[in-house]
Amino acid sequence: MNPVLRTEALELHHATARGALRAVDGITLEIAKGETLGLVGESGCGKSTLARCIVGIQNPTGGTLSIEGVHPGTSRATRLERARNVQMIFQDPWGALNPRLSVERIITEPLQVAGIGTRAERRAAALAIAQKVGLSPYHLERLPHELSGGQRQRVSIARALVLNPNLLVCDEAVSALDVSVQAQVLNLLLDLQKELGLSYLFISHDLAVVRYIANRIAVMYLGRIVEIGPAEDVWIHRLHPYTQALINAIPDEAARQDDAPILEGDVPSPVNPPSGCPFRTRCPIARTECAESRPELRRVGTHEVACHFADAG
Amino acid sequence: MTLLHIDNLRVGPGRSAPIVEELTLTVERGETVGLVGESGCGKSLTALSIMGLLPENLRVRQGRILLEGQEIQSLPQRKLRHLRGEKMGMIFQEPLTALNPVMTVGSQITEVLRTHRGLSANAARARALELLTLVKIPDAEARLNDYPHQMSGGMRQRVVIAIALACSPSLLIADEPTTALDVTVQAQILRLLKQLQQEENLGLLFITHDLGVVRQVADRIVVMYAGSVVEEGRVDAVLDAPRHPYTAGLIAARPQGSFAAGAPRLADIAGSVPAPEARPDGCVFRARCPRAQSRCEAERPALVRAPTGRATRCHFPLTEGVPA
Repeated sequence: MNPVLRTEALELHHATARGALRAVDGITLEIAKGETLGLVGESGCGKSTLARCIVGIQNPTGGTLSIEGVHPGTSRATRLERARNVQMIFQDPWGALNPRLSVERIITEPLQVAGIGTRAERRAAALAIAQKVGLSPYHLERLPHELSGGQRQRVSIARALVLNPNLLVCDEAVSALDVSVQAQVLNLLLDLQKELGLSYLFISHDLAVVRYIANRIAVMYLGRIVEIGPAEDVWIHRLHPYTQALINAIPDEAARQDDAPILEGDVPSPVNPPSGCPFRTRCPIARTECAESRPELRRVGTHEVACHFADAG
Repeated sequence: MTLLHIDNLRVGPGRSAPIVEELTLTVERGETVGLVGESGCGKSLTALSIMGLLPENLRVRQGRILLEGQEIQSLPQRKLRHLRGEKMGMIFQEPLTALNPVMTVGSQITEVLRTHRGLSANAARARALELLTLVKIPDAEARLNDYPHQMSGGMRQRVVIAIALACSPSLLIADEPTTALDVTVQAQILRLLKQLQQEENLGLLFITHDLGVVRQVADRIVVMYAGSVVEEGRVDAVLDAPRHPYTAGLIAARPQGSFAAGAPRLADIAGSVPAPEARPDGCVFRARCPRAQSRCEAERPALVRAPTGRATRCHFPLTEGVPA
C-alpha cells in the first residue's frame, strides 16, 4: 500500500542577497495511513516551511513529493485533488478564520470551492462535521469572534475535515491554547484519527505534546532531519546530541533540575550554515571530523540518526 | 519589611465586573513567587497594577499595593515613574516589541541610566557594558551598537533583563519572559534569572502559564483562576499534592508519556474560563469542577490560609489526592 505521504530529498531554497537560504534541505520521509508523525525542532529549523510545501502553499525547489502515490501537479484540477487529500490546521485560530464569515460559511467554503454538493447538502455536511468536532448547530450561526479559542480551533478542524482528507498537517495546532483546552483538542484529534483513519503530520515546539500524540518523531535542525524513529524509542533512547539537548531542556513539572546541562548559543543562520555537521558549533561531543564531513542519516537500532558519534558513548 | 504586599486588590473597568478581585499576595526580598493561571485569569493585570501601567479603562478599585511599606496604588504618574526602574523593573513576554527598533541596544540601556541616575554619557556607557556582561551577552562591547533586529530572541531578552536591572531595583516582575523563546534558549534565560536573583537578592514575581517553569524557578506558587487566587503555597507542596480541583486539573491536563505506548486519555477540564462579566455566583470554578455541590453555587468560598502559608479557596478541597 502506498504511504499517504512520501517526500524524497525535498528542498526549498530561497535566493537571498547573501546566498541561498536552505529552509528545507533534503527531507526524505513517509507517513503511513492512520499514523502520526511528530516533527520537532527550534524556530527557524524549517518545520513550518516543510509543512507548507506538503500542503502546496509553497513550491519546493528540489526533490519529489507524492500524496497517495501521486505527484501533485499545478493545474487547478490537480490542486483541488491535492486539497481533498491534504488539509492543514494553523496555530492561531484568530488569524486562520475569516472574521466576516459565519462558522457555517467557513466550514462549507472548501466544499463550495471543490464544487461538491448542493447548498443544502453542503449545509448538512457542515452540521455533521461540526457535531463530530464537538460544536452544536448554535455555533454554526456564530461569527469567529463570538467563540472561545478552543471553539475556534474546533472550527479550523471541522473546515479541514469537511473534504474528508487522508492527511492533516497540524502546525502548532494546540500551541496557542490554554492547557485545559489543549487537552480537549488533543483528545479530539485522537478520537478523530481512530474514527476516520486519519494520518497526522503534527508539528510542535512542545515536546511533551508531540511525545504524547505521535507514533514516530522526526527532529529537524537547520532544514534537515537529524533523528527519526518510533516516538518512545527516540524519546527514551535519544541518540543525537541535539535531540538529547532539546529533551533535557524541557522544564520538568515533577522535579527541579538545577544541574542539568544547558545547550549554549543559538541556531546558526541557514544562509551560511557551518561546514560539515550543522550542529557541531553547539555540540558537546563535536570533534574535528565533524567540521569536515556532513553526517548522513544512518540506521542505529530502531531509528535513524545523522551523527558521526551518536552511538560512540 | 515585606518587599511587596498586595492587600485585597480589586481591578476593573467600573464598580461591577472586576477583572481581578480579592487578590492578596506578598513577595519577600530574595524570594521567587510564581504566579500561574490560564489566559484571562488576571495574572498580567496584576503585574500592570503593581507597575502602575494599567490601560486607561481599568483602575484599582479597592485594596492597597505596598512596596517596602509605601502605598503605591494611588501615587501620581510622576512619582510612579521614579519608582519604576529605581525600585521595580519589569520583563515582558515579547522582547522584540519591548525594545525600540530604531535605537541601538546601548542607547536603550544608557537612556534609563541617564534619566534615573543622571549619569554622564561615558559613565552610562560603562555601566551599560557592565550590565550586558552581567546578563552574559558575548562580545558585549560590540553588541552595544547593535539594533534589536540584529540579535536573536534570546539575546534580545537578555537586553530587556539588563534594562530592567539597570538601576538595581529590589523587585523584578517577569511576565511570561520565556514563552516566546525556544526550549533550549528558555533554559538559558531561566538559569540566568535564577542566578541574578540570588546575586542581587531580588524579589522576583514570575508570571507564567507553564507549571514546569514554575517548578524550576519559584519558591512559592500562587494559582489564579478567573480573577482570584484559588491556591497558594510552597511550590513542591502545591504541585506534588494540589488541594484545589483547578490546580489538580491543570496538572492532570498536561500530556504524560505516549498515547501510542499506553498512556491514558488526557484529563481535560470541560468548558472554558468565563469572561469577567459572565462569572457565576458562588465559586467561579464550579461550572467546570468535578467536585461541585450545591454549596458551591450558594456561597463563594473564602481563601482559607493554614499556618504553613498554604491557602486554598474551596469548600471541598482535595487532601493528599483523596476526597475529603
